[in-house]
Amino acid sequence: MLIPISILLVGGAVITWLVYLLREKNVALRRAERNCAKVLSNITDAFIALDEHWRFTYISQRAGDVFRLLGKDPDEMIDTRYWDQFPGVIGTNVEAEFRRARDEKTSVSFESFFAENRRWFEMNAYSTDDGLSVFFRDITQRKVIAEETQTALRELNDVKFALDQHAIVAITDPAGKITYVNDKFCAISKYAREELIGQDHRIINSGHHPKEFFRDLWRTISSGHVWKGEIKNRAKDGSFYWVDTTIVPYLGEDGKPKQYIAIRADITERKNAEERTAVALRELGDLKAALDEHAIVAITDPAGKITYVNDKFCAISKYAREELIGQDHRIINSGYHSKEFIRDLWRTIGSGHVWKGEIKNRAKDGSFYWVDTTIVPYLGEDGKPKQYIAIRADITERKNAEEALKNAQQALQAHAATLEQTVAERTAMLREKIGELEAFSYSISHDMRQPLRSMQGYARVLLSDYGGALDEEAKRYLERIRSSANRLDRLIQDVLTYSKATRAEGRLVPIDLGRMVREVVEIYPMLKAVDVEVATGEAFVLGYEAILTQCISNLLTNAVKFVVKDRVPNVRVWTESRGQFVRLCVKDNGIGIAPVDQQRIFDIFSRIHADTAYEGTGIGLSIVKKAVEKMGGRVGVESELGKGSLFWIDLPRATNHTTYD
Amino acid sequence: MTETILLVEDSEDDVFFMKRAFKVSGLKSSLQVAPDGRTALDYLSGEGDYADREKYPIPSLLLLDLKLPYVLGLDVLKWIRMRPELQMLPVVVLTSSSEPSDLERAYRHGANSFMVKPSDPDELIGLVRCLHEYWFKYNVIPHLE
Repeated sequence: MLIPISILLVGGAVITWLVYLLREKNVALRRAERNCAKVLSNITDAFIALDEHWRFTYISQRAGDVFRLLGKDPDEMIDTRYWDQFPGVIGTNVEAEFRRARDEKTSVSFESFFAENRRWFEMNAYSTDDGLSVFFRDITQRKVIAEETQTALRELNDVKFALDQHAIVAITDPAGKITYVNDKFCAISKYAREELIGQDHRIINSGHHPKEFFRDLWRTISSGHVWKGEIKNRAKDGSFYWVDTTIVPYLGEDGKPKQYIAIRADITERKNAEERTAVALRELGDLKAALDEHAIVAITDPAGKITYVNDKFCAISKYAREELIGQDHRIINSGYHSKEFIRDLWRTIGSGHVWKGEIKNRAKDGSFYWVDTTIVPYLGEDGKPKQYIAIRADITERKNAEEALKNAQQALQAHAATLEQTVAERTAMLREKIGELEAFSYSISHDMRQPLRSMQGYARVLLSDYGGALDEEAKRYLERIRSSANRLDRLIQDVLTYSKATRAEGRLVPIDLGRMVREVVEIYPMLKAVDVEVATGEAFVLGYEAILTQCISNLLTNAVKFVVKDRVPNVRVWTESRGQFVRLCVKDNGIGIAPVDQQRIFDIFSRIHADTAYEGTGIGLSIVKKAVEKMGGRVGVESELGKGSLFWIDLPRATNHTTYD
Repeated sequence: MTETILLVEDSEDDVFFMKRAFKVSGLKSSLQVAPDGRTALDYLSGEGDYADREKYPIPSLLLLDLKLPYVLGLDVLKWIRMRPELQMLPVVVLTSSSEPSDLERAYRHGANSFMVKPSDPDELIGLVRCLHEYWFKYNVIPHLE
């Protein structure tokens, strides 16, 4: 485009010179003028000459061609006025410029758009002595191209702007030196523009890619091809970023790259996500491997069809993988579980919840195995299960052991139940026997006392009503009858008391031992007469009031009773704390008990002295022992022959003075 | 008018000692004796011979042994307490048993007093005197129709 224009300019100058010569020689040179016209007509530019009245005096060959194209006959145009031929230009810059050239005797150059013809013309008008010479040229095509170029450039600018906005752009020279970077390049690399220009891309090399990677890149672009790839770069602050990169080489006329334009997009986020995903996937892979190693794994689709089983699943079920895939779990159903059990399982996982439980399955060979099962539903985006992952552990051995244990327990329980029943039956029988025995001994004692009391009574009545009629001998016999009857009566009373003590039951109540001892001393005349020291404060124990009173009175009367004839009985009573027990001690200055006898003195009817020596039925201490044991206590004696005895009873301490059942 | 006391006692010996105690004490009260529970019920309801209330008046006090043939003393007590005309009759249980269960049941079924028979006849005299003094001197006996 530039070359033809320069040629035209050179041509224009030549013509200007020629016109100048013409004006100098003027009319004399008509011929020359004609020759000149001939020359001019050969010039490719269109040329017209107008006289002072704007009439065409000359139309060159080429101008004629142009006019003909516009639908005019050039021969008829001679001597017609320019304005008549082109009325459309009146008022345009054509008229203005033509008039200026003529009026100012100068030359003008301008471009004008002939609206009626829809074409652009470049016009050069020169003032002559007798009018105006005009060269013109159709420049419509050039104008259109220029317009298009402008538009293209504008669009290019827009594109460049958009690119700068959205991409990281850099331009390097063939040697790789950076000649241009946009703002985004600076932003992501954290370098200032000045720090980048003149450098090569090694400034942002992260060292992540092997040398071969960059060699390949350079080989591609230096051979004129576009290179695309993902590059990890390092910013000024040492942080890394990933860019999706396209490098376009721009080739010079010699076919070699003049510059490279690199367009990049920041994909750091994506890359990081990918990296994380890769790590997660690796971990997941490890987990799966671990899971496959240790658990029985199966995956089913929402319909329950098996889509995956691991080796352990195949091993325990004894099915080949091909036999399982596509089947549902009914293939290993043992029939052990109720339909409700299976329904519950499906209800749970179908609603997106994890199900845990123990399932009995049947292997291909018909053997059974137990698995501890966890089924996890994996939900799709619609919230419905997409697949179920079942993880199982073999618990067959445990289950078998449990089963065996259960059977053993059942057998044991049955046995225990039988035993219990036997025991209950025997206890009932025993209780009945004891009850009968007690009722028997009770009524025996009562019925024995009845006639005895009559004997006592009659002896007494005889003595008092007929005493006067009897001699001393008779009275003595009556007295002997009476005292024998009395002894038997006491014996019977003691037996009654003993039997009462054995049957004592009900609620143990807190009793103050000190108070009770003092009351007993008060009540018994034989105790009041002797020396009884009571050195005890409040000491609460749990017991039955009636039989405890009996115990204490028995101990105290014993202490007073078994004393050498002339000695004054001395009894000391005190309490001691013995852990959970309170000990009541009764110490006398009596005859004492030989160690050999200490054990049996608590046995019923055991008397260690001749009947006559000391009064007693031989039941008193048995009553004490029986009664104390009934109250959860214990009895004992410490004694030496001739040195007195210390009898003690331990009874459970009453705390807070509350009552106990 | 002398009051009537009905003694329900099966032991002839005890009846003897009781009669002696009354005599020794010089009490004017009329002591009627029913030797068993069934007779006691006949007496109280005026059955047969006992319809003659001149001879067998309604007693003002009942002395009741618990161990009786045919009808137990406790059943006699229950029966009395169910009869509207006898409900208010003072009943003194006089027994050889001091069993807590006997004691409890006697009071539960409406006994007014519970005494253990003394084995000594002289002690019985004291008891009878005391009993009489208590019930007929200081205590006011309800009037039965």
